[in-house]
Amino acid sequence: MEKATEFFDTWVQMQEEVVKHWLAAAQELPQTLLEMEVFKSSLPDSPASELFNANMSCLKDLSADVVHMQQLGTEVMKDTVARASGTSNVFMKLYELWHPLFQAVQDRVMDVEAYGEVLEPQEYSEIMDQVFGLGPATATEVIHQTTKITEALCCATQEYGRPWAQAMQKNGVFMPELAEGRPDTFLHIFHNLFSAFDNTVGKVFHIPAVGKDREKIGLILRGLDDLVVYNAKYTEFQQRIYVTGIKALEKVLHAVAQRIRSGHEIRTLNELFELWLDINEQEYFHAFRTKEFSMLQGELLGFALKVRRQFHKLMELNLYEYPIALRSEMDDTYKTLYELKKKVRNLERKISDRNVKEAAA
Amino acid sequence: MKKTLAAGGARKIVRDLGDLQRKAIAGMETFTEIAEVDVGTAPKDLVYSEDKVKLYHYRQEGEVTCRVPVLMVYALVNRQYMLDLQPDRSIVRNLLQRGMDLYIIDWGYPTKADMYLALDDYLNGYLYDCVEYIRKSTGIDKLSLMGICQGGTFCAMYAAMYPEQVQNLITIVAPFDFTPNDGLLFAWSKYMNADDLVDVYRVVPGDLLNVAYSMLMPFALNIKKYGQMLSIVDDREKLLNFLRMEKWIFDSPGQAGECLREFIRDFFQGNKLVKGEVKIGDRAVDLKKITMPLLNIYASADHIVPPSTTKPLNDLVGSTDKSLFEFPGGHVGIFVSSKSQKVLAPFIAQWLHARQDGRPGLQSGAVPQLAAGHPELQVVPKPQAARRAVKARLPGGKKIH
Repeated sequence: MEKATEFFDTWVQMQEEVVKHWLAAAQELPQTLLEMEVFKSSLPDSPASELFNANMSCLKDLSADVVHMQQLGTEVMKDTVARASGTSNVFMKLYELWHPLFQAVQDRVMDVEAYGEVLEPQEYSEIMDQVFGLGPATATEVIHQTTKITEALCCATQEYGRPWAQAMQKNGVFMPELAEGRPDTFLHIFHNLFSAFDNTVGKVFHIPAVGKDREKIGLILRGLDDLVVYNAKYTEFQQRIYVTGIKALEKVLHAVAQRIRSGHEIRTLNELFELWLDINEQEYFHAFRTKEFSMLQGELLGFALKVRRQFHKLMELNLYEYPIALRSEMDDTYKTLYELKKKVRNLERKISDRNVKEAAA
Repeated sequence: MKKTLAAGGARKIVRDLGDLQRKAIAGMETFTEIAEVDVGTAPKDLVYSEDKVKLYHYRQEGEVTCRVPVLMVYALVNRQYMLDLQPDRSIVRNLLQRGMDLYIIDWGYPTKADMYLALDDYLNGYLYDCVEYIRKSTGIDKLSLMGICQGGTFCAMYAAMYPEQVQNLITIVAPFDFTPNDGLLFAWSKYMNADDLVDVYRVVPGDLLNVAYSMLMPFALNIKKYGQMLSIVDDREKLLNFLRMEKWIFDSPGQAGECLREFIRDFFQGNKLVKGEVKIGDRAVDLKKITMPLLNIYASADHIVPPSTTKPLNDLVGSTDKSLFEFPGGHVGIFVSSKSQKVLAPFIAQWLHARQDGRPGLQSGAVPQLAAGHPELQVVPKPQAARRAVKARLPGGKKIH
């Protein structure tokens, strides 16, 4: 079967054989079922009878379609498959282009190395040769690859959709707060959507291997997101400060009212100022002393430091080409200096100790 | 008719505001007349330096009556001239007048080049070298260490590592037990990522720490004090006093990253000192090895280093001669208040004089002598005589254990 036409003839015959066998088997099944007690004893409109009738009806329609297909002739089928195979090079090109992306989306990791592994140029070259030769192995491989593409597409669609669905789920929680008009809610929503973007479309930014510029784009995007996260936490921090302030103000008003009621009215501005200061100081001290505030402050500092860290990385990348000592390079220099100083100090001490011993001797 | 703020007091408020404005204008004149805010004016000589660290020796214009030299060690945060802020509020001058031979360490202002400095370098390096210098230059084997705030923690650790070099140990408002959360710094530090902080900053800026300090008492430190300043702004001397304190508060050196990382992680978060798990360089710190006389002083209203963090030291050391002194005031007031000048320095001088000959310290019989020069001190017998400790009471019910 070296020629493509022979292959298609055989292939079509095999398909016909398979369908015939399947139809025969399908027709035997009802006969077998009819002989079973459950069908013999069932009434004409029982569920078992309905199932049986539906199955028969389906088989009848299928048989009619197969007969109709056979009437089309093998030439039509051959032509169809040949066209499909003829355009396979275009299809493969598309596959080559998109498969790494789909794979990256699935794996959530994509770098130059991974890109190379996914492509496997040698394997693709062989496939292309076989496609142009139109051998049976080639056709099998085409079908196999088509199946893989379909699977990849399904997975990719799932993986692509999942982060967005999760983001929407998360954002749903913020809806009541959004309705209240809390400003930090927008920041949370933005962050969730950015995460979804970063895990899906954002991956595209990581694919082209264009060196430092790609890293810069990545850092800028990451830095922006970190800034958003920091701002969200800062808003939370500010909210805590404001709420405490409002509580303190309520207490001040209450204290003033209490004094008026008890006849000890406030007569000077300074008196009111002192009262306001004392109550606020106490209120804030208690708020700051809570575990929640300590944790919040720790988190806020952590996010602020993260933003700074991204900025430092970006600066290093930007200044890399210039004749300027970078932070990391200076760190190394300082480390060397530090270690040398320490060695000198230890050596000086040893000399001093030896001198003392010699003098004593 | 009563003049209240709510009704009828408007004229009073306007008058108050008018007075305030007049004072502010007069204050502007005073401000422009002040050319320099001088601090740390007690005469001293630079006798030793290493990297950015300097050791100063105060000039003793009178007679040295206590033969054991005293090395004062301040914290790495803020500057040591708090002990000599102005001539009439100076623990240093007070001690000099009482015959002490004083040295003080200036840790300097670390830069990025000092980012790798660790506790090992500060204690086994700089502090050790300063002590060695004093020992060699004076020919005296043992000296007295007086540590303030974090410097007190350093001195206690040093005394535990090198007990053979330390005759007496004095710690003032120094933290030892870091578990209590009644101080905000202690509560906040437990949730701070020291690694991130140091990795990002290398040398953590003093300004960043100042933000934290100003949040300890946000209204008193950021509003009230400036409001009070307006009432003294037309008085040059009082304004100068205020500005000296301001200068000290905002004169905050950066913190060498590695050292700060260790201090946050092992002390604030790990509380390893009281657990006996601290190791500085290759030396373990066992507080039980502190066997020399100990005077541990704390401030009753200290909002930075609460008494609960200071007091446990006396139960952790191996000394039999150990005293706990409560000063009625705050973390800074203990050095600059007028009461401090009358009580603290004289008491320290007497305590040191009583131990200059290396005898086993304050015996119960020595207490009346000690209190004799200080009518404000009232001796209270210690119930547990076996511990050889004493209690004295200050006016207002404050006591020495």
